[in-house]
Amino acid sequence: MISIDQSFVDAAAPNAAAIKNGRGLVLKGKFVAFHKSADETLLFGECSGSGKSNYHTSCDFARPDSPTYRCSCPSRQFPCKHSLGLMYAFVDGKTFTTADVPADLAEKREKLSARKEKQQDTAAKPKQVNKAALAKKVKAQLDGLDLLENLTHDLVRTGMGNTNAKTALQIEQQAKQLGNAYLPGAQSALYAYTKLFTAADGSFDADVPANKREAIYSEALDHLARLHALIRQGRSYLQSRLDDPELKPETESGIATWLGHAWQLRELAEAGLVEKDVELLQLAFNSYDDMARREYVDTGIWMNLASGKIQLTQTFRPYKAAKYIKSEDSFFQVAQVAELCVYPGDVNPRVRWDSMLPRPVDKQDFATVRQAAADDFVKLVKEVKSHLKAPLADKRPVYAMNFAKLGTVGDDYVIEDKNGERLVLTEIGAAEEPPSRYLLGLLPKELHEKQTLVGRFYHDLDSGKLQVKPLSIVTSDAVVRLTF
Amino acid sequence: MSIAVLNQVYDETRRLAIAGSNLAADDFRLKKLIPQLKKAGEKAPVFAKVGESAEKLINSPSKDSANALLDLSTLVTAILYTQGTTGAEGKLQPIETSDMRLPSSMASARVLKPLIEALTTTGSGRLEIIRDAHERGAFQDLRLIRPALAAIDDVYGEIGDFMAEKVLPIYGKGIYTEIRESFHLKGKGGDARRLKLLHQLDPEATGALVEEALESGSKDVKVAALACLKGNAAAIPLLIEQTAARAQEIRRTALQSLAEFKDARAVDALIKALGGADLSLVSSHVSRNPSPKVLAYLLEESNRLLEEMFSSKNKEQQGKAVSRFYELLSCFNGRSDKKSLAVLGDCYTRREQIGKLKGKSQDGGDVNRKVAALMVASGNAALRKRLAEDADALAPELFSHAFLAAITVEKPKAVYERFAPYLLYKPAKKKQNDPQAERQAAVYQALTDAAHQRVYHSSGVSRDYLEVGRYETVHSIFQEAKLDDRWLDAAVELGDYSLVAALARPKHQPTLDFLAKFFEANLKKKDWHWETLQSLITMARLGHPKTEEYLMQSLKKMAGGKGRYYGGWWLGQVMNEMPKSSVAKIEAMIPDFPEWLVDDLVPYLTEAKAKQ
Repeated sequence: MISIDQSFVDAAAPNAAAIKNGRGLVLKGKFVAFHKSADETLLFGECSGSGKSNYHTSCDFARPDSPTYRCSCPSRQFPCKHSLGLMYAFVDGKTFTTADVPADLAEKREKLSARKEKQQDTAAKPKQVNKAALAKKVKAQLDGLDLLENLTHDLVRTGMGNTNAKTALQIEQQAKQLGNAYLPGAQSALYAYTKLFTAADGSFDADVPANKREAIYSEALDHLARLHALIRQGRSYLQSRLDDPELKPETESGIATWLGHAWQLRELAEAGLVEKDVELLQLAFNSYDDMARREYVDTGIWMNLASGKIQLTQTFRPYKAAKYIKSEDSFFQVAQVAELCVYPGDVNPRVRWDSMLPRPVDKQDFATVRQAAADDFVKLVKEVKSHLKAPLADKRPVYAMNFAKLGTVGDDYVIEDKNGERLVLTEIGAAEEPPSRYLLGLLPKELHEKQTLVGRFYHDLDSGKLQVKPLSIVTSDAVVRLTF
Repeated sequence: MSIAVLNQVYDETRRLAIAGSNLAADDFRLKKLIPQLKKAGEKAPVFAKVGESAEKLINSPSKDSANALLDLSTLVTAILYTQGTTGAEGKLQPIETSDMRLPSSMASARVLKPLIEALTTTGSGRLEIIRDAHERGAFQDLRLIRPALAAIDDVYGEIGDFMAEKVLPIYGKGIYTEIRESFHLKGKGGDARRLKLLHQLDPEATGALVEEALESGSKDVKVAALACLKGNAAAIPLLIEQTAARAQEIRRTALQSLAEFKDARAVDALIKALGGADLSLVSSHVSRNPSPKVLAYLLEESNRLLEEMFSSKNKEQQGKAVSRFYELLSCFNGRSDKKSLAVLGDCYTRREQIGKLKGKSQDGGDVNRKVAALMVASGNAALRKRLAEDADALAPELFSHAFLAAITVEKPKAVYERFAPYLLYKPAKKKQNDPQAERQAAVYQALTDAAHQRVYHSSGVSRDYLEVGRYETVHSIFQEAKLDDRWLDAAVELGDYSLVAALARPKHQPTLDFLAKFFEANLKKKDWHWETLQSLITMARLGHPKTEEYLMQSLKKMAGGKGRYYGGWWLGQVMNEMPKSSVAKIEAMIPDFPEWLVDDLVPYLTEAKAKQ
């Protein structure tokens, strides 16, 4: 039995235009046939398009937590308007006749379930590595790292003071080769440096004004140090893979990701990075335009209610494909995930799932978050510092911390733990995170005592201060979001 | 651990990274730090390591310098990352909260982000987003307060006004301090809005600030401050002071605020303004002033001006008197005392004489029109009756007022019998400046307005009321007007679609026939006219039996034609009025229509379906 409603279909659509077009097809009567399978797990139909033959579209609910949409149309949007239209017709109460599943579709369904089974089988079996191809790739990557080193050293030798929009453009043009050398991550790291010297919108038309240049040097130097570390660690990692082709991608550190390795869920599973039957509660959300990576990034900040760790979901929407990829949004329920894949990483590893079922939040969930949060700021700060000192570490990690009091000292907003240890709050957060500190003064008084703060640490190299950007406050019955 | 030296090393590394590592060889400033590092290294080996790294940098040849510099920088930065200062010395004070008691709304990023962008950036289409969000109650969210406050300065003034008047007051006193802190006396529109808002949120606390703004604020801020003083008797001296301001806008606002008071000082200031060049700034507001002294002045001044208008031999002086009298008449707007009404009655009696007077910006005809409008607006039955009774003999420009007066004082049947012939006037030959045609137009316009129960600002008679500030009078007359049923027959006889549509009521056979004939005749024409489609909407509203058939014909014509004429929108309006079965029939026909028409129709069809 298929239990979907209009909001389900709306949510499945990649964008508003797809919703309109999908509905339009139903109203225009473009559908030639509506069918469902005898077991009511499959909707299928035919829809006329601009061509001679009809599109065969179907929505397969054999796995209700992750339906499969299929269509013979060439659209890159997923699900396409035809699949959406089919579901709208179903929701609208159009008559779907029970029919035999067409042979080709039945075959595909079988293949899918076979594939799923096989996936499970192969997950157990080690994958065969094409050693020659791997060696060739690794060599290309090593050559790429040499190029990156040359570029970085050139930049350092000539000095950051001589980098401007024009040189930034030249470097980016040369850095295009890094993409060919299977090093997209390293390429982005270099762009992160060059983008500091371009106009605010990332174009090369204007330079950073003289009075603002001084402010970017510390960050720029940090980026250069990061590139330096990336080259060194990357080289030794790649060399070790070249020497031993059986070696799997590194999962202890994030170096593989830094170089740009696109992790397959299977690889993560192989490396034992899968957690079963996990529940996650979103604590904050942010969406920003990452000019260095040339994509929009939607980041969900979640607490894994089983482990108490703060983990991130990240959806990357490259500029070129942004309209085909569904943008993520704040999520207010608990996500129940049967298989959670955790990427290699340290404090806030990235996580991903194939399918999840939402359930309403209850008080116990908030209690779990509060229990998992750090009580002792001295211990917490020590942990943060030892994390930050690694050149390739995430410099703005997120933690949850229990505070006894929230107040002010002079102009600073400060949280204090039960031992009287303090942390100062700041407004500097991740890209496009709106100001949030001032909101604390607008909250009810009871939120100023004995609550849990979810915050992003930030060490300012110029002032030498390690401070926290408040993102949310978790009380015993709510997550009060201060950003998104 | 001596962090100071590490900080120095970091600064020097940073300096060299800016200048270029090529220049690092033998850098004496870095060199100077090495002995200190070595010494510190005896206790903590990490300093020795930094010292070695620094030494390597200053000794390295140009080609290795970059590597050495990055080594040093990585090392120092890593150490500094472990040395970040976290605490804050001093007593922890509780945060002064202005608890807004707002629900921590569940608005998602997809809702908030575009809204924050609309509030904080520039570009078109933002007001719509903001308005829509306001209507949906989306501003009940803490996270929007600051962006909302920032938008008070929006470059697009309408957004600033909307925020100050509609959105920000919902946050209450909690935002007072924040607004107060960002307020500048010498500021522009945004600060004027801030002052008004502050005053609205907490009038007592803002009193001193308003006075300060009056004394030393910019023009915009001063005007806002004056508006805040409205109704505050203690502020009279301040207001009087501002009636001598150089900027007209400030004088106007000050006088408007003063016009509320009976206080002797205020009255003197008002009389002074009434007698001088600022008459037009204050005249319409003085009408509300309760002081007998003001009334006495008005009566005396009107007599004097009337005298001057009739007796002066000097044309220029006479013209001036006409203009001043015209302005002064506004002061009688809404006054219901006998003497004021007598002034209007007297002027009306002398209308022939007045009509002949010439003036500069206004002449006698304008004075007569204003008098007639004030007579109707006064609500006085005797004056209205006089106008209504004289209707047949009045000049066309006064006739419309008389018709309006008749609607209020005579029975619907009587009004119809007296005025229907005017509407049905058919000249044998059309001529210019035909007074009967003008009277016909006046009745026509008033009937349409009355049928729609609303007034078009610019239409005929209402313009006069707008001018005397009594627009609402004519509006309420039209809203309460009871019209004789036979007006609809007259409209059909006249053969005017607009009037028929305005007066139409269901089951009136002549109307149904007329509309059908009108539609059929127009459908045959090659092009679409908006009235054709409008008549279809009227038919749908009246439940005309042929609506569905005509709608199908319209769709067929549209499908076959070239011109699109916003077909979807029009037909959407028709569908809104039609029963479910008809909408379903159209839906069934859709596959036969061209793609563009379907695309036009789909949103309206969805809407019509959802409504039913």
